[in-house]
Amino acid sequence: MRSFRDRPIKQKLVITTMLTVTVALVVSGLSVVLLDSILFRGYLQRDLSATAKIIADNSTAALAFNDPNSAGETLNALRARAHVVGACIYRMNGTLLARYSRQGAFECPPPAAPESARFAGNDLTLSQPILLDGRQVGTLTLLYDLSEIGERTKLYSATVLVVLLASSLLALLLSNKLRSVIATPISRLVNATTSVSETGDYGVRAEKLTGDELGVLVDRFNAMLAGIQNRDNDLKQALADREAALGEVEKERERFAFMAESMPQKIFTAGPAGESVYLNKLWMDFTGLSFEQIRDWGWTQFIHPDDLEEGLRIWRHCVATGEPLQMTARFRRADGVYRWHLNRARPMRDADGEIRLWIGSSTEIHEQKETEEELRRANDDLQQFAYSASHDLQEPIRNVAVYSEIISKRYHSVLDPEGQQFLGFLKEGGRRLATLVSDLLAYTRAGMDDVTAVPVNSEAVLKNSLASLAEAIRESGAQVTYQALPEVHVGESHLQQVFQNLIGNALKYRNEAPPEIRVSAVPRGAFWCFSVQDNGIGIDSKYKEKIFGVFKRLHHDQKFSGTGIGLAICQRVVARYGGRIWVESEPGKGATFFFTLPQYAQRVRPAAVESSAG
Amino acid sequence: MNLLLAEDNLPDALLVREAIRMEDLPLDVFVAADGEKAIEFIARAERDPDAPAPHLLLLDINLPKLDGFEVLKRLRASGKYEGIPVLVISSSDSPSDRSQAAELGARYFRKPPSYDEFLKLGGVLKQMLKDAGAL
Repeated sequence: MRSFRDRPIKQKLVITTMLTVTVALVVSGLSVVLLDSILFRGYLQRDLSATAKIIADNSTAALAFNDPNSAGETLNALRARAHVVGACIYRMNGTLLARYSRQGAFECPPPAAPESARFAGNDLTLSQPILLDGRQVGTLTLLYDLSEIGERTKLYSATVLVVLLASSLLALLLSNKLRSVIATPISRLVNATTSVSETGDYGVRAEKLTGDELGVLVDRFNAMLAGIQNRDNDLKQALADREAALGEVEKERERFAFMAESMPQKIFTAGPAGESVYLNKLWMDFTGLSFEQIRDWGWTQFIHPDDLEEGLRIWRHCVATGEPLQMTARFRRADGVYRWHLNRARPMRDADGEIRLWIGSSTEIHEQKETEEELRRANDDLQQFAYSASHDLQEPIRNVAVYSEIISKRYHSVLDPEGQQFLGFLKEGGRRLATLVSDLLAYTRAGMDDVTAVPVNSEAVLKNSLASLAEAIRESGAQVTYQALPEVHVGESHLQQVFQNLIGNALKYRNEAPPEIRVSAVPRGAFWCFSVQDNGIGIDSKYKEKIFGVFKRLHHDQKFSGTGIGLAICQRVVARYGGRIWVESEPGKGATFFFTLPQYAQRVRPAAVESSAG
Repeated sequence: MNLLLAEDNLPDALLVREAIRMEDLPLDVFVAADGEKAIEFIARAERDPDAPAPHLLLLDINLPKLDGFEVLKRLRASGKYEGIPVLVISSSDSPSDRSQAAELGARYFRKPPSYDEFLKLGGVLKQMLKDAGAL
């Protein structure tokens, strides 16, 4: 059986109401019956005392005259009182004067003194003295049947029962009504919550039926539901958006994967820390390894041992700085043969600029690399040949130049004018040939690796250059100034050639005024930008590019003699270190040559690439 | 005083003599036509007190058998004549040749393709002799 606590509210309401009404009615009914019984007994006693007193007064004469008949008649007046069972009049001596009995025999109760009432069982016995002139002359006793009280109690009880039943009925009706006022809104609320919990529909609202606390509860509940509904809607929208975005990402991923798998190159993606997260099938086909073996840093297994350290260094540098990757390395094919690859990767950043992913490709460039290598070797051979040839040519050419000069000086007089002219040709040709070969030698040297490509103090190099040019500087009366110059990562001899050629030009292409030459350097990104400024004759802007070509000369008169190789040497040296050289000038207003050289060490570009560019 | 001239090119050797003559320097010139002969000259001078001693070395770089820098290195390690003044002469104006010469404690003279310029060698030798306290 369910406990009261677990019963529905409407049952609780009915039970509570009924129980309250019943208890109240029973208690009040019993109280009424009890009180009535007590009051009725008092009233009966008083009423009977008054009757007894009247009878006693009316019996005075009969007693005085000792007339039993008269006394009997007086007693017969009691016949009007249905519950008086009997009555007796005693003389003072206790003898019976008259007796009244309602029906049948009746035993008179003995007289009691002086005036008393005694309840016993269903009887009330009353004694009343009979007075004559204030003196008792006899006693009247009455016996009253109290069954009237029992009837009365029964009547009252019946009435109470009827009232109880009627009240219960009424209470039942009222409780039903109450139930509709209290329980119904609660039931509706319960239904609403059940509906929400079962269907998940936060659009459900509980109906507000009252304006009391339940009404407030319904309002709050509905407001809460509305809040939840809003959040639910937002959540659904967000979920839908996310779903859509995920779908888009998935499509994008599929597109990327499709594209990557269709590419002839090896494609990879790497996380922000540099670990490979995706590799297209070509990788597995090429290396003969599984994705699991290659992923993360697995490429370190199949890169050529000679390329490993540099490859790791470059890749880690890119990952740390976000600079795009570009490097070549040899990767081991499944058959054990190493093949050259060009590896490139660029970082993808999010809205905050943080790197989310690296996307890269590795292109097999083995044939190209071999061709390049052959070209480089051929170029090196050619360069070596040019170097050796120009070096070895110097001696015989110098002999021709010097000894034609000696002949010209010592044996001038023994030659006829034509012979003297021919000797002049020989002398001049020898001199020019010597200069050309010397410059060609410098030019080929500019394209060769300088094994001393360590940081050099450019100021010290400049001082060496000035020492070499000391005589020309002294002769021209030039003033060369410079500020503190930086360290650069170029070959010392290369840098000296650049300084020497530029300052040499500044000394050579001068105005009437003594040359004023100023050398300085300012940082520009990863480079130092040097400038050599003069106050010479300047250069027409249309020759700004042309002057850096080999054998390009603007002046053919003897005043500005030269081979036209000096600036080509500068261009070759600067380009070799990834820098560039240019001039800013106006005719007659001097010229400023600028060139950039790296601040930091870098790989020297192969001469083959450079020569094709220059 | 003796000048050891390590030079395989006769025209140059003659020019060196001419430069010395023009400056009227008190030098007897001994010519070694290759690197080995130059080393032999020095070695003999070390061994034999009667052999001519080199007081000054004039060294071409491009020598047959043993190049000029190798000769210079051996000289600097020889002991007796390790400290004599040396002038490296070369057709090359390569900075690396110049710096290598400087590292080995030698002066450097580039053989110019001009007679007048070549004769300046005499002035350089004179200065070297003065620096050595021989003039």
